[in-house]
Amino acid sequence: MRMQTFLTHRYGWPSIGLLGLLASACSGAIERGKATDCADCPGKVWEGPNGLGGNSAAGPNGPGPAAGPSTIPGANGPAPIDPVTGEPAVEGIAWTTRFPRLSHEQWENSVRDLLRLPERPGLAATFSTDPDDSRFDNFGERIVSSNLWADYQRAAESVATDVARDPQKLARIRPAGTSSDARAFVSELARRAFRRPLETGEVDALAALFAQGPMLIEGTDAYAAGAELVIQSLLQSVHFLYRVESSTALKDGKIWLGSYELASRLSYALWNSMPSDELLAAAEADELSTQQGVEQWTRKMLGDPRAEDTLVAFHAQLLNVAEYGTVAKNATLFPTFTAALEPVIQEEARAFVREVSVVEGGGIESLLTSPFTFVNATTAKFYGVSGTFGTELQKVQLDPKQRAGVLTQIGFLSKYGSQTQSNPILRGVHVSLDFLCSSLPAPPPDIPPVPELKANQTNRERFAELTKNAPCSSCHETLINPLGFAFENYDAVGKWRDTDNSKPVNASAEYTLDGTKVSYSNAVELSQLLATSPTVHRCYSDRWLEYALGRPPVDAESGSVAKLAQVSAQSTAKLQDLLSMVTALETFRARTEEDAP
Amino acid sequence: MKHVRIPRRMFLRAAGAAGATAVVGLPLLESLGTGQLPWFEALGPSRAKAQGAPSNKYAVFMRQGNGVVQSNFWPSAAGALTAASLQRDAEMSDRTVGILAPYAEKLNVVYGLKYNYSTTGCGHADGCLQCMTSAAPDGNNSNESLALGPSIDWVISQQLDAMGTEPVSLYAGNKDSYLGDVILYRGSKMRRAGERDPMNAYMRLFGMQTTPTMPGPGDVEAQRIALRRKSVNDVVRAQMMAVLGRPELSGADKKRLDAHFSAIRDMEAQVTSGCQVTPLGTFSASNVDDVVRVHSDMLALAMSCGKSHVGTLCIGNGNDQTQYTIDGKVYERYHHISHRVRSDGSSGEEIPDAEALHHNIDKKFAGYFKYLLDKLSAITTPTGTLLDDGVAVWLNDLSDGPPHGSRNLPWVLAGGAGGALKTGQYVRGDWTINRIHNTIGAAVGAKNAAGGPLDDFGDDGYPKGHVDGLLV
Repeated sequence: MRMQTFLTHRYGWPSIGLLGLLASACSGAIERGKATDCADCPGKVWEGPNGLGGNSAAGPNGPGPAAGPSTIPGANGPAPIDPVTGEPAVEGIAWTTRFPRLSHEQWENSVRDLLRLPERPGLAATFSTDPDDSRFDNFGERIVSSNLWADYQRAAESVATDVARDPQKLARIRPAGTSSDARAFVSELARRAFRRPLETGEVDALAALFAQGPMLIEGTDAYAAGAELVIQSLLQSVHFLYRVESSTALKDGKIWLGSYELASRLSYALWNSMPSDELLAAAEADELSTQQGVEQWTRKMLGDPRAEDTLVAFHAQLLNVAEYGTVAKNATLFPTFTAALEPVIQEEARAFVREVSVVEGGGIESLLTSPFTFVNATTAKFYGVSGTFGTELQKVQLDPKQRAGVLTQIGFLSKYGSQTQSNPILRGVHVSLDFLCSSLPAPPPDIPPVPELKANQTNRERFAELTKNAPCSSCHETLINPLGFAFENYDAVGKWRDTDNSKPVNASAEYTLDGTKVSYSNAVELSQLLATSPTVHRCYSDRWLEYALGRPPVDAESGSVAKLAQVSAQSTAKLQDLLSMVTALETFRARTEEDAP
Repeated sequence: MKHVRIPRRMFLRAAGAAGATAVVGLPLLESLGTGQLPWFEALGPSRAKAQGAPSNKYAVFMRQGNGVVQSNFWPSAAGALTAASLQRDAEMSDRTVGILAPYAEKLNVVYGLKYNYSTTGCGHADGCLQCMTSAAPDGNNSNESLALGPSIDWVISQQLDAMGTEPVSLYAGNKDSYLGDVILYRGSKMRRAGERDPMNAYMRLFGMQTTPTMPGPGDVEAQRIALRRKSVNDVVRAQMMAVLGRPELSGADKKRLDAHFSAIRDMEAQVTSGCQVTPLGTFSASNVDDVVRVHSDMLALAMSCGKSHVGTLCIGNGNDQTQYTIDGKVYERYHHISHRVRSDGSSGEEIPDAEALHHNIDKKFAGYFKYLLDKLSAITTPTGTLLDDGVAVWLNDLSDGPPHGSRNLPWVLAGGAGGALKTGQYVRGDWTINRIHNTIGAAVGAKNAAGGPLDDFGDDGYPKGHVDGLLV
């Protein structure tokens, strides 16, 4: 039995919550589908049974896919074949939570933007850690535990005090020309905090809280006291902490998101933060109710500096940059590869992905083939780059016969190397898992140890010898070793070598890629093959969709992923094109009917 | 229209205002009829907290991964343990537990614990998801398998702690994406993470000490803060309740929001009188020894101050890849040492003297545990030391290096749990893992579904009961 039905039935009261009801005046019935006396948006039609929540201004039928050609390369041709079904790809949609919780990063950015602070508050670093059970930090189905709730409360109070008691900071969020109008302050700030216009009842409750300011906060004027209370409550509200999606109107078995909901999806996917004033205004003006509108806004948002950090963050998590440089190396063999290099190597990786994805607009192909990186005096030696370098990182071109993209950089290579040697198993496994999205089974237990390197034996020969018999061979000989052996030209720290244990390195192998046997003589050639592989493009696309949705894609969305992969694989496509395709997908703009897991 | 009878006591706790100034709306709710609050069925079932005097009992768990060198871990003979016998074990045969000789008479060393379940995935995943939960895995045969139930610390906390308190969960050692912080669960498939940053943990536990939470008379600022929070919470709660009332809410979303809603509270739990909060020591966040030390300090302090009845310190990720420093030498990755080869699988070069290195790591962990016991023993109580009030536990989620087995899992207990446990013994037998969880839970006062000492924790497939010879 739902609360609001209970009350409406028994007492005929509006369904805005018992305590809120008592805290504010009874404000009259809110009926389904009717325009209400909403302070911010006269004439708008509301969806949802209790009228709360952001939704489409286009009416209960919602927007549908727009007709007309797209500007995205590869998006206009015949549908690609979905490798999962074997049929032409059909886009699908899936269940997704209506309450994705802000990640800690998103909390920081949203608070900065909401209160128009010059910098992030820096409080999320003290928040309760989320369990590491997802690939990306923006996974939406997260809990607010007791500890995290207390963290949010503490942070809300700290930020509210900081802003409300500083006249300059308060002035930035005080609506112009409204002197001491509490309702104007509340409506405007809450609209941006909740990322949608407010119900009258909601404004009432917050205005009543504002009015308690002088009684509860001393030593400051009434307006500032009221503002402090309101900021505290907004930052702890379910409507701030979660990106609430409340649209319920069905059209052809789909529930299309309303404009404000779309604005939030766009801004959190592309900026990792709340919608800007401009974007909210666009939502209000119905600019997001067509596919073209969404695409235009996507491109615009990608051109904004706010998108840069997001592009870097996505790739850094995709490549697990946070673990680069964490594997210690033998101090006699590699005296300069110390713990101090960890931040340097991670910064190198970030600088590289920033250059590729932000500056050049490149996607997975560029990530895998670009023969440049960023070095300082220490790391330059691992790359064999000559020149004078300081402690700061500098962009350098690398020998394209030896280096091509992330797989040939010291971050990847050194992490998947032992203290003294390269590790072809780890390198092969991670190419497979992270770039081909394959699902390798776990190794069986009780595997015998590898013998010491013999006098006339290379690392490769030793591993080949070890894994040549059943049961090892079934995975190693075809799925793991061929990929890993391509990297034998790079030692434990990623430095190029032509010999290993005094014998010439053999980095050539054969691997079945996209159903065809391909051969390559080293990691550069392998990287180039991977860069144009449909499987690799599909894997990259799948990860981007996961990031944009805040959850892994499901089987029903394999057609959607296929369409993304088609764009990704276009030689003329830029990363912006791929991301424009992401936001153009039905699954980004619609949800399935409930009911859920 | 079905109404669920909710004890009035629970509603007041949920509103967080027991004993304080009147909750807005309470008179109206009284007129609706006591307990007829249908929306609180959303809160879900929870066992009624024990009535009676507050308990000083607690449990703290310190977890090591990757198994131990079995051949020289255990005491040399079953039966009574004395300082002398353990000292001899240390000197004559370099046995790991010998390091705990000063605490011999307070120990329970338990040999013979085993898991019932496994997946065809990775031994570490299996061990980690069972070692604190006695749960079955979810059927995912990889490192991503999850436990189908809560961990013992969560259950102890739910029963013994004030509402809105979580166990004090701390973490030290490296991070790794293969198997991260994976031993704690708040429910089926719902992991919890430990706090890595000692400063964060300290602030969360003790940062509020300057603002007493139950305002005394004349403490005007504290009263104002409390009233402020109450007013803000009322608005926030109302918004949440409106959302929880929506018909389009799916079961999964409702569950998540319910957890959030239950967390909203007006009053913090009051601090135990006599609690001496000491400042956090200096430490280097990248030095695992430092972090283990300050986390151990904090666990002792948190138990002493009644912040929670249970704490955990997870050292290392699922397959602990930490590179420990012993006698000035930086070791290879612990996981590799436990495999005896430079590899996470078994294809790698042999590590010379790997077994001896593993043993050295075991002894390091014994040293960590001894430090924790030292801190608990340093806090005196009217009846003895804090160590006597509770039980400190050193466990490993696996049995040995190769082959990462699941039998004869290393569990070492210290402390008599306020007289509930016999101590000073090395017991050998054959018990499923749930029995040690039940024993610890029962010793600190946790109950089973019928209200007796806890004996039904974990998967239904385990026979109920305890480890023989431990409970008084």
